[in-house]
Amino acid sequence: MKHEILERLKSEILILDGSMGALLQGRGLPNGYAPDLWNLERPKDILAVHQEYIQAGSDIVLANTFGASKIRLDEYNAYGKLKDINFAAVDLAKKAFGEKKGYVAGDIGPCGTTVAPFGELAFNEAIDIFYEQMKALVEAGADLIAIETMFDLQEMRAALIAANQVREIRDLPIMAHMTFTQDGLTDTGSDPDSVVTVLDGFNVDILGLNCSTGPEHMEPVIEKIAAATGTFISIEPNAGLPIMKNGVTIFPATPQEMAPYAEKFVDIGANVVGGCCGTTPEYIRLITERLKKKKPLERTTPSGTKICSRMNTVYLGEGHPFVKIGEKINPTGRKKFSEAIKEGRMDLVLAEARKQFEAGATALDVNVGVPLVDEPAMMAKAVVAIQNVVNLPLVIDSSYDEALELGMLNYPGKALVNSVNAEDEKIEAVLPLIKKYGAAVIALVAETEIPETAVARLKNAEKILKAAMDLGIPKENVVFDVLALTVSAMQKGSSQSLDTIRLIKQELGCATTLGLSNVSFGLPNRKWVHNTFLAQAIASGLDSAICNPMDEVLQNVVRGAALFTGRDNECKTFVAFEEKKEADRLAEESGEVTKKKVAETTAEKIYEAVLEGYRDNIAALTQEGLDEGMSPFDIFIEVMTPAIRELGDLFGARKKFIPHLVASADTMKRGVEVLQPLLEAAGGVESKGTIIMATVKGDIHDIGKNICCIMLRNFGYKVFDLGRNVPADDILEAAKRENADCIGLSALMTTTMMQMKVVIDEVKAKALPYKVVIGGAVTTKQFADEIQADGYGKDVGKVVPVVESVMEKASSK
Amino acid sequence: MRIKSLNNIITIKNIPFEIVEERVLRELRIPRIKTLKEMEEQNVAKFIKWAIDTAYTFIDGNGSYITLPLIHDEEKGVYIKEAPTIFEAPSIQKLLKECDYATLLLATIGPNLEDKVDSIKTDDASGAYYLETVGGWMADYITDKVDAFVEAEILKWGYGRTMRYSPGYGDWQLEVQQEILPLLKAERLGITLSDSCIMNPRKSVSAVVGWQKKG
Repeated sequence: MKHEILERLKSEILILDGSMGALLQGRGLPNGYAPDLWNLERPKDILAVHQEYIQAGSDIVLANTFGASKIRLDEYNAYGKLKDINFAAVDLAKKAFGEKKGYVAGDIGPCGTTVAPFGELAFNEAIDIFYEQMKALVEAGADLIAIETMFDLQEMRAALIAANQVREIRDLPIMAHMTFTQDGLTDTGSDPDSVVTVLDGFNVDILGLNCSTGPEHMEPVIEKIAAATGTFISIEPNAGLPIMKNGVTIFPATPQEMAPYAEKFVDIGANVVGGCCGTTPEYIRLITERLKKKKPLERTTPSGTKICSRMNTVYLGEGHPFVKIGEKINPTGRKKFSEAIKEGRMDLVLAEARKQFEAGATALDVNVGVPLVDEPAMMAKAVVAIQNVVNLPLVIDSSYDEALELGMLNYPGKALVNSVNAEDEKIEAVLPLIKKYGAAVIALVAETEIPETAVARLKNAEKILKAAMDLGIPKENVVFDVLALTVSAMQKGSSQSLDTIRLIKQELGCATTLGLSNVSFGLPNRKWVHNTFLAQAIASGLDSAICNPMDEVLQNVVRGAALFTGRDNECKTFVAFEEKKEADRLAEESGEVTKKKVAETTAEKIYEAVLEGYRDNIAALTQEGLDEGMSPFDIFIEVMTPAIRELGDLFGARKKFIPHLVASADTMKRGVEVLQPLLEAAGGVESKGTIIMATVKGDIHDIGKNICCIMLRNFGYKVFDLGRNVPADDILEAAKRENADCIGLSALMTTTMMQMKVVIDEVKAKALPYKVVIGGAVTTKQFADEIQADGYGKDVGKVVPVVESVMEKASSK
Repeated sequence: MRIKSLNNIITIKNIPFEIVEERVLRELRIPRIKTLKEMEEQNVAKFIKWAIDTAYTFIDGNGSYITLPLIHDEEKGVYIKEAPTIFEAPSIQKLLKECDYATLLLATIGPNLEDKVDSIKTDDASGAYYLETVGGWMADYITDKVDAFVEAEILKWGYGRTMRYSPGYGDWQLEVQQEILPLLKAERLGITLSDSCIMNPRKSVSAVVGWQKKG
């Protein structure tokens, strides 16, 4: 259906209104009171404000319904009046236009709380809240729905789903505005391209931004939006950045300062211009004057299929980089992975997501299909968790429609859904979900059987595409899986797959994909087989593949094939990659030059292992030393101890740092564990002293203290580790029992550090023979002095020198 | 229009995060270099990388905040009616002196990372140390993310902001958390307080940010 407003936008710039709140405050609206309630309580004031804007030139006015939804009205105990408030608002705005031509937008603001998975409000509840208000607005006769000031894409998605549902009551245009901060991103980190990708996925008619910043910060955002879409653009800046003056928030930009920006916005591509916070009819009057003779810029939508996460957009199609969809989040044939999913654990899913991201995947396929698992719930969980650790777009992969739906529901981006095929039942189940959630879909060119010929596969593709387009899904949102068959089973099948790629490009102009590893199934040296096929497929026009991004051969094939298929403009990506690789190689070589001489004897190797922290082989090396006839005492005293001492010197000289000390301490500990039985059997190493170590009462931090214990033991001290949250009495009792020389206390909290004083006071009061050293994040030298500690160590690197120094002083007395 | 978080707890769940190698290196007190690849001791770099990869699978960033009007009284100083004594410390009085509102916030990385640390600390002390360090920084990182929402709201209303100040800083005692946590319904984030006022999960942060009049 053609809408007049959209027809006009092809050749005209339309003007929105400005702020409602500021004008109502001027008419006595109390600070913090809901303006929406005035639709019923002070209708004349609302009418008057609309009239002022219409006189100033507004073609579209926003009905006074920004907060007229469930949660927000509830705050004023006015939810029961929702319908009346929304009806009155539309009525007043219509009345304000009188005989003058104009449009009333039903104004929809954020629902009043954050939406899952980012917040606590369930996504479907958010849809219901928006739908309830939009239904009232549509029934009241609004000419369009304007969704405004959204800072989270997920909440916007809920609003858009509701908007598309009310379109079934009466078809009307949808305008959707996000709010961007000064850094050009939304509060939840979405960039303009991803916002556009999501909004276009829902077929909004006008998209843009409002509020939060002044016009100067909106300019670069509008530029990015205009480059990313052919959809009409609207913009409502604030009158500059707000400042607080005499207890009132004011917006400092004058109408004269704002108006020139309106002209700039139109030159960039805006079709609708208005104002947000701080703007008044005078701003709109000047903007109207500037824009009334301007014509909209003709823009086109970039080619290809777009998918995105909350903050990252990927294009599939001709001229765009080849898309590597990581295949590894899939339990098929992987026992541990399946077990983790069965237990509801996401750690292995997240580990695979990170590995593929780091290897260069451009999107991730997510399949959590394990028998007897609640796959929809698990898909929802995986989709939410993965988004926290990588920003790649997701491909939601399941044979269960419900799992696909819950995946899309929890995904605050535009997902690619894997998959639909040409079966009527599947088309009827999956495509409406794609439409509802504004997603893109992978369409398998098969029905129940995979057709042998490319021509037959094309027919299936045509069937699916027609069904999609009949539902209003644009062809850009359909990506065809041409089906790569196993070459060892069906040698001619592969050439048919390549022909299918070409045919789909030629006849339908859609993007293509395939599951790569199928091709080589059953053959040796599989990598070479499927990567050879991949090169041919890319040459035939393939846009993406579900594949293993950790395969370096594949990465090279993709980089190389891009050069010949128009996917790497001026070979820049290829050259940059090779240059970086060469630079890394040279850096590594130069590092090698400075490396020390290679350890040759077992003693040298043990020394090196302790010094460098090679903990993985220290046990074997130590055993090797013993087998060669070295005495356990020699290994400990003549090899390991000098090594750890050298490390201490390097630490003191700031050539090595705490992580090295930690690694080496742990390494030596593992070596000493091999020696320990032998040392003890021979009477043990002479102890340098006995130390009681504890984290004080009330404190549960002990990781640093544990490292200190290891270090002291490595240096020959006898250490009794009492653990954490240890009362002073227990510490003193242990010191007495073990005839200790020293007590080491750790605390990480200001509330617990005073427990150190309790111990020291007791030692001093009873003249007990223990030295007390303290350490931990919150402690300082000054505090140590104040409580009369004998020694203070700032961090784990200081524990040995401090204890040695304290013990030395004690023995010299 | 009203301040969204005014007397209203805003909860933010599933906070996306990135563990930046350079920040982890700084937390581990390794100066100058920005990436693990630059480390001369690649075996140590491998352990730190393990800690980062592991942290990615165990962090669950959540937070919440609430904004409350400040009452200025010549005798009592600055306070909120919901918990009149929590801002009694001189340092916090000074911080909030020029403010109209105070936002209390909470952030946590959840219990999973520290459970992992506790489970490995006996057999893999160095691994536990690296993971604990990454977790410590990530608690700050998630707090920064929650703080960014608070700041956006403050700026939107034309205010400036104070620094973020946490119980345990200076003379502001940890005990105030006994009143701060209920105001934020901390149990909804799974945060509880021990008798010694330590939050559980340990990798959690509570703080206040003041809404400062500009100029």
